[in-house]
Formats: sequence, C-alpha cells, structure tokens
Amino acid sequence: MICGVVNAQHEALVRLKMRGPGGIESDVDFIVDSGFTASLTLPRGVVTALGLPRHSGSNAVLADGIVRQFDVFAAEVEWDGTWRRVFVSVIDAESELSLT
Amino acid sequence: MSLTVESLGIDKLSIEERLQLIDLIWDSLPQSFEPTEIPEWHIAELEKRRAAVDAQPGVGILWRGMIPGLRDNTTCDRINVPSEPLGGKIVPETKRTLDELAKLGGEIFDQQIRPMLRTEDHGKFVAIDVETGAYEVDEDDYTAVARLRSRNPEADVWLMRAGYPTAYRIGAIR
Repeated sequence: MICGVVNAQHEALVRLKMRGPGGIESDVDFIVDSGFTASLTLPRGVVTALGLPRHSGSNAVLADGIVRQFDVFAAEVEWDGTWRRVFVSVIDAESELSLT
Repeated sequence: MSLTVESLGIDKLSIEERLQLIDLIWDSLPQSFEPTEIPEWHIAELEKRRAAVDAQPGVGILWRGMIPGLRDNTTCDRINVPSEPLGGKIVPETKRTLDELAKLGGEIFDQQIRPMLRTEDHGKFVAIDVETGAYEVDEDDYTAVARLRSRNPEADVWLMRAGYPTAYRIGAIR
C-alpha cells in the first residue's frame, strides 16, 4: 500500500524513493495530478543529483494549451516495495505523479 | 435530525441547479482545513483495508500495466511492465539537443510514419529513432522506447503519440 497526505492546498502528496543507474537514491515528494498523462516529472536539480541518463525527448500540451518540449530520463522508482523502471520528464516545475 | 436531500429540498432542484449547488458548497469551504480528530470508525476502516492488502503481498496490478488492458479490453498479461532493475547497467543517452530531436522526429513522423499508422494505432505511443527513421508503436511509452533501443541501443529517440499533437498532457505547471 502506498500512503500519502493531502496538504493545505488540497493537493495529494506521496513520498517515493527514486534511484539512478549509479545507485544514488533520494526520497521525493510527488503531487498526484489527475490531468497528467506521463509517469513522473522531476525538477532538473533532482535529475542531476540522481545522475539520471537522458533517454529521449518528447512533448506535452499544458493546461493553458501551450506545447512544451522536454527531456525524458530513465530512472527507477520504488513502487509498493518493488523497484520499477520509469520515464521521468523534466519540466522545471514541482515533482508530479500521474494518476491517469 | 440528519440531513437528507429531501429535507434540504435538493430533490426538487434540476440537475444544473444541483451542479451549481455543488460548486457553491465547494467554494464555501475554507482554503485550509486541519481536522482535529479522525473518527475512530475511519481509523478502523483504514486499518482493516491495510491489513487485507498486507495479508496478500503481490496481489494487485500497477496502474501503468492495467490501463492499456482496460482500453482494448484485453487481459493485462500482454502488457510489458519493466521490472528488471537498472542498477549497475549503462543506459544509452540521447545525444542530440531537444530542438534537434523535435524537428527531426516531427518531420519523420509527419512524412514517413503517420501515413503508415493504422486505425487501431490511434492513441498509441510512437518511439522514433531520428537517425535511421526506425520506429516502434506500443500502448506503453516505456515499452515502445525499450523495443526501439533493443534494435539499436544508440538510437536518438523522439516520442510521439498517434492521433495527438503531443505525446503527453500535463494538467498544470505550478
């Protein structure tokens, strides 16, 4: 079971452990966003700290209709006790977790 | 006396009026709310559900693997959920800049791939090697890229989605 909290802004937060290919781990608080269709997004600083390799490029349409390109990185996330490979998008915003 | 839709007259409202009432109630809530106490029944229910899950480790399906199966009404066993750890492995890196990937990937998609896509590919992810024009289509983005990289580990990859202007949607940037 994955537990989280709801903050004062009514945002659902979960804390997940992320790991890069070099074995560096970090706990990251993610906002659960039901309007987000990718897996995870992280601030660039966290990606750098974890030493994540740049895996591909892609794009997304934001809520205001603007299309933004972003780098996609490969990482692992501890999900309910199991390490899983995931794509991580970097959009220079807060950490978000998709719920779609 | 407990509140009911009848005692509040809600049952006499139209659907539009009820939706408007939901908005009014929502807007009337304070911006921050600190519950002073969680009811005992709620704690008991949470503990009961947690115990049920803990008693059956491994039961359940990740949302990432489940959604494609729901979309095409198939079982989830065909969904390739990556589980092999990355630790210690060298992961190839994309070399081109984001602008180069977007330009080349967009051109290859429009000119070579879009005409080849079938109706059933709508909504699937398309991973494109912008160096060779090779591509892979899959309901799962990670699987599409992984399959492309299994053909060419050094691929410079751009990710699109069939039938959509972008691969992803992001609800909000804060």
